[in-house]
Amino acid sequence: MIKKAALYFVFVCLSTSLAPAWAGSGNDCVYEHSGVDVQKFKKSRHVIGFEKLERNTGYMGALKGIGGFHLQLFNCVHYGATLTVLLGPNPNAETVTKTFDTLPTLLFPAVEVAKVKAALKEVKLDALYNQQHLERLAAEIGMTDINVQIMDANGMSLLVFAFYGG
Amino acid sequence: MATIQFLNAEKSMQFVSEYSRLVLTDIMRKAGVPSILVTSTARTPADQARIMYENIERYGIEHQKLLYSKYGDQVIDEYSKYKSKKHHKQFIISMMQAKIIALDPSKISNHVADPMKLNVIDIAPSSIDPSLRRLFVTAVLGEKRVAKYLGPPKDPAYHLEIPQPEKS
Repeated sequence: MIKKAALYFVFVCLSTSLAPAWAGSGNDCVYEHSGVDVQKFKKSRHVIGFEKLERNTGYMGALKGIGGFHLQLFNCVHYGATLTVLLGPNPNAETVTKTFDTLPTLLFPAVEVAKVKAALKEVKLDALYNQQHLERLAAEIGMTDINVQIMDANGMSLLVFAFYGG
Repeated sequence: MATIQFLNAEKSMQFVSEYSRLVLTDIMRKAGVPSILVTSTARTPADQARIMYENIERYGIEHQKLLYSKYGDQVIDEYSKYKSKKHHKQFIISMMQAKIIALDPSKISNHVADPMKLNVIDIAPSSIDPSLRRLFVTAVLGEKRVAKYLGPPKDPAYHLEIPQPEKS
């Protein structure tokens, strides 16, 4: 219970700092779906606990053997998602590798999973504290940008994996 | 000094005019933001048609139809129509491009625009220090030369549309 409250607190702090006010565009959305299969994500053997925060856009839960996550979906001017994974205060290389191995299956159609896994394997772990843009992968799978970064929030390390197209 | 960096610089830099760079640097100075990363700019209807064609081939019609609104779906229908008649790739892309133009390109993608008239620019939120993001958004919203703005949490990027001044 305490863990869940702490996780929620971290994600709320994070989303507040990352998400300033926005000006809406009305109902002129080009996209109606993020491209992420939420049911597949929810039912994955890697996912334990899956809660809806906002209707069809925000979810939180935990990844087995890794930590809590927050999933933000986008489906208007662009499509895509940002997955934030709570790695804990001192994440080791094994946790990051395990996370990289899990993310593609959760977020991408089966046809692209191998490509995303291969690209993530090429990312040097010590470079992750600066945002890494996976330009070649983005071009290969028809996305505008795919990026990954480890950041610190309230003494916790968070892995932020984001991609969008449109 | 305000620095504007570009992802895919070779392709995207040409679609951000001197006028738009001036608008962006004015915004950055107001917000105290030293550097931004532009992740996407404008594309032509032909580029949009090619991207859609390749994504349909990659992910399938069903997946792409789920993604787009009714207007995008009509472009995907063009693909289906001509693919079933076994037309070649370039022909199908041309027909999709014609459909995009007929429907109004802005209904298919906010990035399809004539860069001489409108610059469409996505900026990575992560390229701006978290403590400056609110100031950056306030500066964007207060900038009259920016016609349209969208950003987090609804959108993954700071999306700015800057109409270009008419050349006399």
